[in-house]
Amino acid sequence: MCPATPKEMICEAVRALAALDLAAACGWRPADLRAWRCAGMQRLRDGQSVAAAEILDYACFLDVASAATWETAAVARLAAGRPQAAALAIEIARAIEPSWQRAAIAALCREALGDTAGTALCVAEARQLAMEEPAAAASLDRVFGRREEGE
Amino acid sequence: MGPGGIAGDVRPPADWSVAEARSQSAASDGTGGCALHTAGEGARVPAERALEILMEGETENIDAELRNATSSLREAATRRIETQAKIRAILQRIEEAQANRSWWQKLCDGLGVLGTVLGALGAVATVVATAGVGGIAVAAVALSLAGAAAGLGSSMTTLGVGAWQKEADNLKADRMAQDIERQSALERLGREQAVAEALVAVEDGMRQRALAWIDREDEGRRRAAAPDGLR
Repeated sequence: MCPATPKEMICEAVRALAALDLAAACGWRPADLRAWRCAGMQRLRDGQSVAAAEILDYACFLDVASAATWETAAVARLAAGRPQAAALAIEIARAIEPSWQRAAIAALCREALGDTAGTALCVAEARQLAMEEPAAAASLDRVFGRREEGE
Repeated sequence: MGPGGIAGDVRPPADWSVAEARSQSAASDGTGGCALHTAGEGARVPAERALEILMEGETENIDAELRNATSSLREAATRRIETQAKIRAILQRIEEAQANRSWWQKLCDGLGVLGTVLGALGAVATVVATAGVGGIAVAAVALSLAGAAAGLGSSMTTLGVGAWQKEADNLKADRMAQDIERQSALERLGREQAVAEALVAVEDGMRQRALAWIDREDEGRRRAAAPDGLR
C-alpha cells in the first residue's frame, strides 16, 4: 500500500460532502456532471492542460464521490505541472474505488515528485491489482518497463 | 453579474500561461490525438504515461461524448438558480443529514480534504476573488468550519450534562439547559448558514472560471471561422 492519506477518513469525508448533493442544489443534472468530466478530458487530450485542470477541479467539487472524475483531474493536474495536487486527487480516487489504473497514475504522480520509494510501492500495487487482466499487465510493462525477475 | 448567475461576461483567466499558450497552439493540429504538452517539463513524461493509462479505462464511445460535452454544458449553463435558493437547498440537506450527529464533523473533515485537494485555501480564495464574488474570505470560512467542528462537540457535551440534572433542580436547570440549547441551536444555524454560503460562493467562483474556459473555446472557434480580415 502506498503511503497515503488515510483512506477511511477520505471516504467518510467524501460521503458527508456527497450527502449535500451540491450539484443538484446548484442546478446541475446528473448528465451535466458527466459532461463536465468529458469537457475536461477533451481539453486534456487536446493538450490544454491548465484549462482541463480547472474544469476538472469544478467537476470534482460538484461530483465529489466520482472516482473517475478525481482520476481525470489527477492526470490534468499532473499535465499542468501540479504533481502535488495531482497526487492528492489520485489518492481520493483510489480511496473511493481502487484500480490498477489509479495505482499506476499514483505511481506516476510520485515519480513526478521524485518519490522513488512511493513510486515503487504504487507500481507494485498496480501490478497486484492487474494480475487478473493480461492486457493490463501488458500496459503496465509498457509504461513502467518489464518487471525484473525476483522483484 | 448577479449572485448565482451564469458567467456570460467572465473573461478568460488572466493568468493563462505561456506554456499553456504553447500547448494550445501545438495541439491544434486537428488530429484529436493524445498530444500532451505540460506546464512543467519534469512532469511531461509521467503526464503522458498517465494520460495513456487513463484513456485505456475509457469506453469505446468516449469520442462522441467528448465532442458533445461542451455544447451540452453550454446549454445546461443557461439554467439559472438564484443564490438564495442554492443556499436554502444546501441548508435543507444539512438539516436532513444532521440526523446522524457525527455527520457534521465528517462534513468539516470533507471540506478540509476538498479544500486541500482543490489546491489549498489560497487557490480557492483566488478563484473566488477572480470571479469577483467577494464577501466571504475563504480564510474566515476555514476558521468558521474549524470552529463549527469544535463547537458541535462542546454544545453536545453541554446538552448531555443538562440531561443528568437531578429532579429537585429541574426547574432552574431545565430553563438553563433550554437557554443553552436555544443558544446552541442559533449558533449551529449560523454555522450552517456560513457553510452553505461559503459553499455556494466557492461554487459560483469555480463555475464562472470553468465556464470561462468553455466560452474561450467558442471565441477561438469563431476567430478560426471568420474571414481573415475580421480576425
